[in-house]
Amino acid sequence: MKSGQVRLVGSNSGKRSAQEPNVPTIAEVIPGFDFAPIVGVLAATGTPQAAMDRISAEMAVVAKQPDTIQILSNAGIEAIGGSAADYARAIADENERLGKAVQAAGIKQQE
Amino acid sequence: MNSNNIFRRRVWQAAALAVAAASIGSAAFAQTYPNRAIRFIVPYSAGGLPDTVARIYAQRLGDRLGQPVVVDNKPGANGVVAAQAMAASPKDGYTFLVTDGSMFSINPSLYKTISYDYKRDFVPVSLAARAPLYLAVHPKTPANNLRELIALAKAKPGTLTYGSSGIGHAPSEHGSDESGFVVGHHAHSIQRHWPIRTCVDWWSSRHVVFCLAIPVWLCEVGSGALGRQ
Repeated sequence: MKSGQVRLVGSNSGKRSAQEPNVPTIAEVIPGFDFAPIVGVLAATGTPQAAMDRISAEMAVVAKQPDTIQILSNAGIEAIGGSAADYARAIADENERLGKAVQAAGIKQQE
Repeated sequence: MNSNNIFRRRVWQAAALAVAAASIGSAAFAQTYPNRAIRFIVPYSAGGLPDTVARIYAQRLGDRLGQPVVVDNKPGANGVVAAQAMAASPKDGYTFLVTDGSMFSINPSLYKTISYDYKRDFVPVSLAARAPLYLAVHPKTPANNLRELIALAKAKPGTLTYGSSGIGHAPSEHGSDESGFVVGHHAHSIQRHWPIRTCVDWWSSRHVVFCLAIPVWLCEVGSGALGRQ
């Protein structure tokens, strides 16, 4: 990337990434553009709450370990380790933004 | 004390016992959980963003839990295969889904009928990570920044092409949102399975614009898959 094989002209995150601080965000040209993908863990409905709580708590601990942060960062990924409530909110926000984008793009639903 | 009161008291006692039994059951579960391997189902093939995140967390999570956490890739049909695997697994706390938002946010907007329902079938557990994607152009493309790229796309509608990882690939689709980000709107999409095809096609100049997560770039550029020009 840094060898000139690829020219990065913008990131889709709301703010510049620590990994590529010199690459502007698309939001700097188009305010409000924030579409960085999030990745999370979900369980099937009916899963014991104690199991979900344990996994959530351990994910939060792992997300704060320096080597986790480093290895994810090397891959351009930010460790978060947010709670179930954080994730529910993030999914709702993302659904709203992407639903609007799909509508605005005039993409029709398929069967 | 009349019989009605006795009946009520017995009902309350029974209810209290049931609650106590449930909490003892829950406590016992928590004490022994997990006592075998946990599975992380990923609705994509190995190497993409959710898979990378799942593997990095799985290893460290396994160390903390004292049980292996195994990543199980179930790609196909925009998440339907993974959703079916989730539905077919016992709801016992040993199977989880690790995914990005496509299954929940994009696919319901694209398809009238889809066999899974986020709110009905899944419960959020943990927000693991966030990864910005980068809009990239081939070095030969005469656009040094986003404004120039937009100007180029507007000046020559339909001539810029971009690769995407498949139907519903988020960064490609929302290239045409209402904010006036017109590159996607004026560009021609060629669907390819990523990562190899997209990268190689792009590199041979058939694609001049595309979005891709950084992890894949490091893998492809670093491995020399893009070495021919």
